[in-house]
Amino acid sequence: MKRIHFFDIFLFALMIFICLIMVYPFWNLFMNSITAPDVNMSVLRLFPERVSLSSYVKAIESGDIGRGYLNTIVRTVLGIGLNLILTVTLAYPLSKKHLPNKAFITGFVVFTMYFNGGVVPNYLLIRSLGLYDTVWALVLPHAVNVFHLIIVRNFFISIPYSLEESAMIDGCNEFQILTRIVLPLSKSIMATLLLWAAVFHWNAWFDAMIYIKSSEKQVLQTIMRRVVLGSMSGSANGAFEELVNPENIKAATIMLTVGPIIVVYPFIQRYFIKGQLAGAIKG
Amino acid sequence: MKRYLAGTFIFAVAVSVLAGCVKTPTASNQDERYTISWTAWQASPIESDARIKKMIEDKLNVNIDIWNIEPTRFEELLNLRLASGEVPDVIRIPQGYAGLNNIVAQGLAAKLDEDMIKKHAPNLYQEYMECDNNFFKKYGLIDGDLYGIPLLQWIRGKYHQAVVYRGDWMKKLGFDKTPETLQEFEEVMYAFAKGDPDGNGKNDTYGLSNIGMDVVYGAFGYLPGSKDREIKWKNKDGQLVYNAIQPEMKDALRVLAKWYADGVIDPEFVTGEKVGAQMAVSFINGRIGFTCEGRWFDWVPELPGRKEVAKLRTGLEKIDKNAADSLMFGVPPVGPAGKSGALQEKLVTDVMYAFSVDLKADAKKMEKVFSVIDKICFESYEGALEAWFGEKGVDWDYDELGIGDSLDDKWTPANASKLGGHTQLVIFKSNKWKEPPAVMEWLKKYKWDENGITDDLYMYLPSSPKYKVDLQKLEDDAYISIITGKKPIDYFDTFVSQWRKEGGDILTQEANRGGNN
Repeated sequence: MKRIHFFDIFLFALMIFICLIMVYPFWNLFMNSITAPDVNMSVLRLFPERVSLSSYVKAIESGDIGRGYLNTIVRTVLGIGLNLILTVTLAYPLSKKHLPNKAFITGFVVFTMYFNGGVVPNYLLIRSLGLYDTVWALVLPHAVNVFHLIIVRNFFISIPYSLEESAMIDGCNEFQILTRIVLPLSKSIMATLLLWAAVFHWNAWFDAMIYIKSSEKQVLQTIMRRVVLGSMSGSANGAFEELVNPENIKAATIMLTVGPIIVVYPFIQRYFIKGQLAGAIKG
Repeated sequence: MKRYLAGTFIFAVAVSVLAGCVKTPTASNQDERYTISWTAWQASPIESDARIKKMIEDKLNVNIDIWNIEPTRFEELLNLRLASGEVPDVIRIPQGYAGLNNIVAQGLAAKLDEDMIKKHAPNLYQEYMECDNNFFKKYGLIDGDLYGIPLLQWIRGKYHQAVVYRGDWMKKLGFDKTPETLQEFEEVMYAFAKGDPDGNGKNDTYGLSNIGMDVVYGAFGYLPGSKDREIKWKNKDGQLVYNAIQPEMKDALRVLAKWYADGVIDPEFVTGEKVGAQMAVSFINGRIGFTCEGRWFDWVPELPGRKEVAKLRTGLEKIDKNAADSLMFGVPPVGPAGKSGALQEKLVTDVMYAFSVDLKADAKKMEKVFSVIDKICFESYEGALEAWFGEKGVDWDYDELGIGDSLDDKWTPANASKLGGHTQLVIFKSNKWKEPPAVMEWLKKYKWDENGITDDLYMYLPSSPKYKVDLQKLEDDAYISIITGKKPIDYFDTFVSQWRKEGGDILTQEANRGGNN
């Protein structure tokens, strides 16, 4: 039997306390979201005075949450797929010493990290490519993130070249080396990449606001933003307003949108930390 | 390596320049049935098969293409589309003359012709002329030419801001009616601050905060604005004068500084009574007993026939039902020289509509645009209700007071907007819209339509963007430091000369130029 020291208890207590501090905002948000709208919200409390799901009903009714969810999922899945494929197929050759004109290509790619045309030229480009009001306007511009690309490239560089040589001796071609040797060794960085892309696409709203015209194609975050802002500011005339508690609606909306990320995050997080470190120290 | 970098750079620049230069094809419909592109305030974006819009389109034999633009980022998103060469026929401008000037300077707005408006939008014309028989020669002008049509204030800006007291506090402190002179007003304010009206034994209440000061200034004849109160100019014997530098304001500041020193004014007045977008927070939370925040429809009690919720009164009701039921509405107190007044909005709002310069080339379409707006918004109450709610008898009907209302209990602006209702088509609100008689009586009874002070400037001052921010800061600093006693009352004279020197005189000159009075 191991002795439990007073100091251990102190440490546990401290950790639990810190955890509670982290959890409380979520708890408060959750409680706000299920509080009846006519309760005064200016006080902090642990449990709601009266429970009501009306904020959720309101948040779901006022926007097209279902359609928004679907559009966001489509966007996220497409975005992740494109991002993984294009990042890997660009990072892998760039990690090879014998790539011709490597400095030029790298320079060209990195250039886009520091310079871009700005909102208006991007908008013109999207329009003239015929991507306006399609999901492609949301995923193609972000298909390769240069910063992520460099991290993946550095990870690939860190894989010993002798592994590839041995695969070559066993008769693998270049493509097989990538799929059978390099990628299985890069699971952690792939998970990191996936998480980054997923979080990015899940949270993005400004591009959807600019590039998506039809309300049927609008993504979740833009709809949610409208629900939250709409419940705070009045209508055009001030005279036509509904009775809602903006705090409740805000909380319910945040719970609705953040849900999937909270559910997925813990399972990918361990890869995430590993991947981030792996990419970083060999940079 | 250097060579590579230079090459990369040039190549990348070339690619990005070329990418930006591709021309967007513009589609033009030459059918008999015109397609009008349209921008509006939207509670939610319109859907592709919008039922109400379709109904109105068929009625007026026109196609209306409503652009979905998020209202909270309207300026930014519209500018983006304007920059890419897409200009809607009907351009909503939410930021007043500054916005109109911007659009006119870019050459995107058509010059309007008063006779054309009169001929093709007769109801609009008549209504605007009833408000001011020189309307189209006064409002919406840039350099003397008519470009914009401002929205009129709801019920025509006839009512001043609230003059509202906590009735339960008044009663407790032995006041049975609202004060009528500044003297009486002072007594009430001192009682609110000193008499512990909330009965908690703590000295935690005050008379008034920043917005309540309106009526104190008003009692001296002028209303200085502040960073969130757009009132600046008053017509004094045919000349526009700047309110905040009038000598009378020195007397008002003397009163306020004394009140502040005596603890009657909430020390938080510097940050104001609002918290974010929430109005009258200090009043609702029982910190102050008097405010001028909000308009009549924010405080109006439940009266027969009125369906909309009075936002601030219900806000107070949530915290203190008794206080909400006991609210007392007064008149702006009369000052020593017999003056009084509370802030009243201008006749027009800051929202304007301009029309695409492309319409200039197609006179027939321009006429159609005006006739469509006239028919939807101004021709009849019923027509406007149809565009707002949908089909009569199905979506809405008149109630016993003759006021149109939705038949759907769950009607919301957001849901109606999806179908093209609400403000999607009704971009102007005509005075044919009715308020129930009980509301009109209530407004009359509490004299909401008397003693309002409005801003008398209705023109764009070209130098305003250059000086406005600095002068406002100078003014706010001067007023706050005089009230809080950081600077003596006589600092007011220093402020006035500084204000005039640092651009104020130029603004005054501009305000008095070009037939503004």
